[in-house]
Amino acid sequence: MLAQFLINGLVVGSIYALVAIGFTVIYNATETVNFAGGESLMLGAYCLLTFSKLWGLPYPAAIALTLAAGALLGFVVFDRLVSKPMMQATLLSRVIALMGLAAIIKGTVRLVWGADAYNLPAIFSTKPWRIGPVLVTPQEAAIVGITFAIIVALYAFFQFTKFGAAMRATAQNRRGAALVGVSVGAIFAAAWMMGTVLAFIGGVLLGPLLLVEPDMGFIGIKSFTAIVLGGFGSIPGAIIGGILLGIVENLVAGYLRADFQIAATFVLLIGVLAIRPSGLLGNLAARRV
Amino acid sequence: MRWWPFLALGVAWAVSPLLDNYQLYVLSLVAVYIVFGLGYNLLMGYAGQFDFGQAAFLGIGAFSMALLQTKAGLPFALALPLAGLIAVAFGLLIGGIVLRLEGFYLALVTLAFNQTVVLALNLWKPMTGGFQGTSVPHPVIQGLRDPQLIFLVIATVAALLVWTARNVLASRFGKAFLAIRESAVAAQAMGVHLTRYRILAYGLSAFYGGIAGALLATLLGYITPDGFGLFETIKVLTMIVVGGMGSIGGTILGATVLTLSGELLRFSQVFQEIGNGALLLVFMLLMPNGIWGALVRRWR
Repeated sequence: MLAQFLINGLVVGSIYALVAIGFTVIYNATETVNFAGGESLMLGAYCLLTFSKLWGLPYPAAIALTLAAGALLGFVVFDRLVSKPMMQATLLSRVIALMGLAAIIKGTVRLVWGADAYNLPAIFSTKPWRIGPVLVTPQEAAIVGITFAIIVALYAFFQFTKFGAAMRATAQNRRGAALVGVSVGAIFAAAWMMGTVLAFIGGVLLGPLLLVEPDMGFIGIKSFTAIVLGGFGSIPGAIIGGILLGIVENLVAGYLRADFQIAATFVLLIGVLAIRPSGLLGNLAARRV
Repeated sequence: MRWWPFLALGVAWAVSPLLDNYQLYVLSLVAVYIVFGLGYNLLMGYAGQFDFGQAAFLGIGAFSMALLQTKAGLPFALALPLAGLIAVAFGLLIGGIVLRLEGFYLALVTLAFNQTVVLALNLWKPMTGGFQGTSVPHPVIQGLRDPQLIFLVIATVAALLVWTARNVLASRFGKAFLAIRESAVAAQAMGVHLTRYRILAYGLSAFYGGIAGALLATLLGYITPDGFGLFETIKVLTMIVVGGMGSIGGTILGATVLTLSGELLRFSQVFQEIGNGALLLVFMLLMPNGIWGALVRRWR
């Protein structure tokens, strides 16, 4: 049983981790916490639903279109409409604007697709393999595989490309980066697009596991929790935090009660922040004055 | 004009016999949201503490009000302040937890707190009725129509609380809140006891939220846990953003305008959700100080 819970935790946890990386990329560049990130994920699942079920596109084309839609949403709505005009605004204003955006997205989805939950057909086979004591479906294996492929690709991007280095420089010191010729505006746009696409990928992967419904955006809180667990602003922290959260949730649901699963997230989030605000793995952040 | 809340109350008492039941209901709703919005504005607009879980206090107040009367058999007049105090206990708890946190960490914890309260109310079936909710008794006085009595009670409590908020904000507490909002470090350096005032702000706003919840429960007569989720927080957030953060006049304006427009859109929660979201976004982009803030600036 334990091994099975750990495996299941790893699967959902890697999706949380993906979305959490998206949050972190956005946060590192723009110092904005994307409070509409959960809604991006939800919209990603709905895009896939529309393109594949309603338009009848084959899955690869539908997924490609979904990811393109994510990039477009990240650029037009998040970067140009909200982030750019509010670059000088206070943190509170930006957070409130994003909460407003989240409500708009949620309401619009409810308006267009209705409040019903939809089923997304699985991308990969769900016929389980038996590996020793545990059952693993090809779909679950694919989710973990895709996550790790994306993590490796992101690592390579941040380490070995010039633009990746520019993004890291901006995260460290925005003004300094601008002084050495980094176009901070382009970095912001890229961060919003990457973060939104990662959330859309999360929606695409999670959609077939759960039901697709307008309140799916609460997954956003789980990814926040993952970030908090790992320490804000650190990508490895986001990955470890995501997987940790997935495992804890599955253990709680498996050994206690299924409906305590989401409560476990909240307790973990509030508890960690109350006791160790810098996260389980993070260093104590210096206080900015 | 320190006594204007009571002036308004006098008018409310005088005109209440002339109004029909629906008008009384809508005006009661406005008064409830003025109280709720004031508490929220105290914490967010004045003390500058991010809070995206204010509806939790509304829910705690509402269910306390219901259960104190139906399960504990307390009379209305005792249940109401007690419901406020129970909310305060939770406010102090959450205030204590988030003491070391700032900015969006606060936003996260309060967001999670709101969801946790809704979840707990849903799971605690024997007491709260779970997702089906519970009915709330209301006071009865012979010779008065029920909606009129409820309106008079709500209006009286609201006037008292508006007056109290005004006095608190005019006192050194209010100045301390503003100082913390502008810069916690500078406030501390000037001798403002940060811990004390932050906890005070949480307790105060929880009291207003709890009382507003108790009044709302009485007004609605039936409550469900899911009625106190993020939707409600967004609603009150929209009120203070549209009216004006950090001003009593703005809160009253926002609560009135948004409650009335919410009534026009009452057939569709979806349109309310989109409308609130759009207002939040547009006001943050174009008018971050709200209508009241813009008016004040024009007059000066």
